[in-house]
Amino acid sequence: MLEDLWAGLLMVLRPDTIAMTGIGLVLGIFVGSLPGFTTVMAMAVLLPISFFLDPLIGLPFLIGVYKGGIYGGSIPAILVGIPGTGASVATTFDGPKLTKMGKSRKALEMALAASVFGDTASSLLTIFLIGPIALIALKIGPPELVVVLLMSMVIIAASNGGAVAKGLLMLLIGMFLSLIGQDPIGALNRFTFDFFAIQAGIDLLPMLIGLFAIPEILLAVEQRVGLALKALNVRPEGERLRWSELMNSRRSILRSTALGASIGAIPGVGQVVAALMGYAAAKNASDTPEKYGQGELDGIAAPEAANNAVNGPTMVPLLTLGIPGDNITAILLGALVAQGLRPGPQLFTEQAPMIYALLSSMIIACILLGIVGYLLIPVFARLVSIRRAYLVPLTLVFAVAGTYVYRSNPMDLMFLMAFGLFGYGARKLDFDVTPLVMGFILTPPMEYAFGQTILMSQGNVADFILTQRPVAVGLMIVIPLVLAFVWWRGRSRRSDARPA
Amino acid sequence: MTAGLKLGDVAKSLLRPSPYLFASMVSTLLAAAMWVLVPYQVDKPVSLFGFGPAGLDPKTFPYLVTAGWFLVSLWNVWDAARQPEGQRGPAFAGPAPSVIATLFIAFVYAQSLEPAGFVLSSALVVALLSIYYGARDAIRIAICALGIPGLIFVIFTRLLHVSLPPFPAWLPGGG
Repeated sequence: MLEDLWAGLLMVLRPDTIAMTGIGLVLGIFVGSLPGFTTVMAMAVLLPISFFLDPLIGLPFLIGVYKGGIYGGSIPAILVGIPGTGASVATTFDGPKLTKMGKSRKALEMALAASVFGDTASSLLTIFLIGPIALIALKIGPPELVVVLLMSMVIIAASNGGAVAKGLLMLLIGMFLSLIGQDPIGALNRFTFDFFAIQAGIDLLPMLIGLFAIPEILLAVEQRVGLALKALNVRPEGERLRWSELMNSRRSILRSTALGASIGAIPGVGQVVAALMGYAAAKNASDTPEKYGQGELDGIAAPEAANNAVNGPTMVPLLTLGIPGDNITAILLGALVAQGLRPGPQLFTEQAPMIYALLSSMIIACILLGIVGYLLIPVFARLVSIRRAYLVPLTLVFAVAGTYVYRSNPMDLMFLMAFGLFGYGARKLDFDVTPLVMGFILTPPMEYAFGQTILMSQGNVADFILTQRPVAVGLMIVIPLVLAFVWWRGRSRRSDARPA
Repeated sequence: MTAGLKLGDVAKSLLRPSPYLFASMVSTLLAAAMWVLVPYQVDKPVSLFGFGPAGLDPKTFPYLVTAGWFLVSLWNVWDAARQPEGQRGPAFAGPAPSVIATLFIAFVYAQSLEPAGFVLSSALVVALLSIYYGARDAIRIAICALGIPGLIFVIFTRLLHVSLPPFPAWLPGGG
């Protein structure tokens, strides 16, 4: 493993990779700093660029966008109380208060320091744990893989923040869309309705850009008047962060890093939950909890370390089993597949140095984040006040250009618009589209593994699994339990919220 | 069953559907239609010497997925129908005019990308939408409309070596 790690590190220590990671970071922080623009949208729109670059340049570029975007969201959260991305919601509890007290520079630097520490520590942990996890994953056969994929989909659908029924509906629509085209075993046409454009199936790229970028644009333009408004001129004020202040928050940063890293390994939970849990844990552990929400630096450090610590471990299920835990890793999966890298345990045996090169690029991105963030905080702070009237049309142009260049197929633009419209409708009705993307990505490998299971069982699947596959049986028992637990939790929350 | 829930309320909801209920009903109908269409929309596997292929039937997953889709859609119909009057959200008022305008321009843009060329069509779209959203600074609009699409064109075609339709199809060398 250490030889692979060393070989991987050497593969990414080259100027073009480092430069593109830096560019990705700047673009990510740029988008994250703009209220109303999300990291997912930035990644979806910039995804096609990675297709045409060397994998060791294109993928670190996207990783840079990812990390930059998550950190960038804290800038408007601190300066104007609007979270640039969902991950920064907890940062708005203390950030704007610190800005009012003339301590916005301290707050921004604390957010940067906590983000860099949380992200670096969790990425290092990922690097050292992913090898042994991949070895375990290698022992998983087709029957277990079917159950693991099904369980991942159910967890993502059930814990996506909305109602269980809505999550499952999106999941099943995604599963159905994946059936369109050719079946993964016999390449037989399914649901093509004699329509040539869908005979090879629906492509992932127009779906990703359509579902994640176009709805953001349409939601941004709903209030047309707001687009022309220029926000107040904001800039970092006050003294710089002192070493002693950073040290005072070290316990919160360490605790949040551990929390975020644990949450990152669970599919479907994500940065928002990690940040809120990190904040709550820091407040509970504090001797002065009453100061939280009133302008406490620890209230910035805790959520920022937690939300960035999620970034590394989300790669574990993606790289070891090919299961994306959230929409950002779904986009990364799209980039990996387009580069000819099919994530899963086999990838570790066939291209271990490449995997470690990608993971090492995460550490490089963290170090660059510290440098770029520190130098450019005043510049990024000014971005908060850019008029969106210029940015929204440019985002549309980027989305269309990115979709077109992939295959030079005008039909993809129609899919882009159709998925954009669907995604907008889903957002208006409080449906999360992440389960749809997961269902779309994970159904073909699940069907393939199920086909292999049937062949292995020689037609008697139930007997084969019950008598020879105890792990698969155990996991199958867990699925209804997870569903029942999430349904029960949602139900009890609703009854708690109902007035007496 | 939820306390206070009456079948009469559910019936009333079905007669005056909320957007969520309407979407769930459409989803139910679509799922049912797809389930019925499985035998007609899934090709038959080739038989060699009278023997069909062993293993998974290509219809199995379509049947499983469409049946699951139908049942979960019904669950959503039930959830939507029993929502109390106050929690149903506002009646469906349709999208805002700015959303319709943006969608219309986006569809026209997607259609005109090849005939009009990337730079020209993008410049027109950016200028039109920026002005529509309230931008009034002519220089900034010009920079955004011409500069950024031009830059995107150069990045994709010169640096990444992929094709974007360069100029209007009716110009020499265009299309």
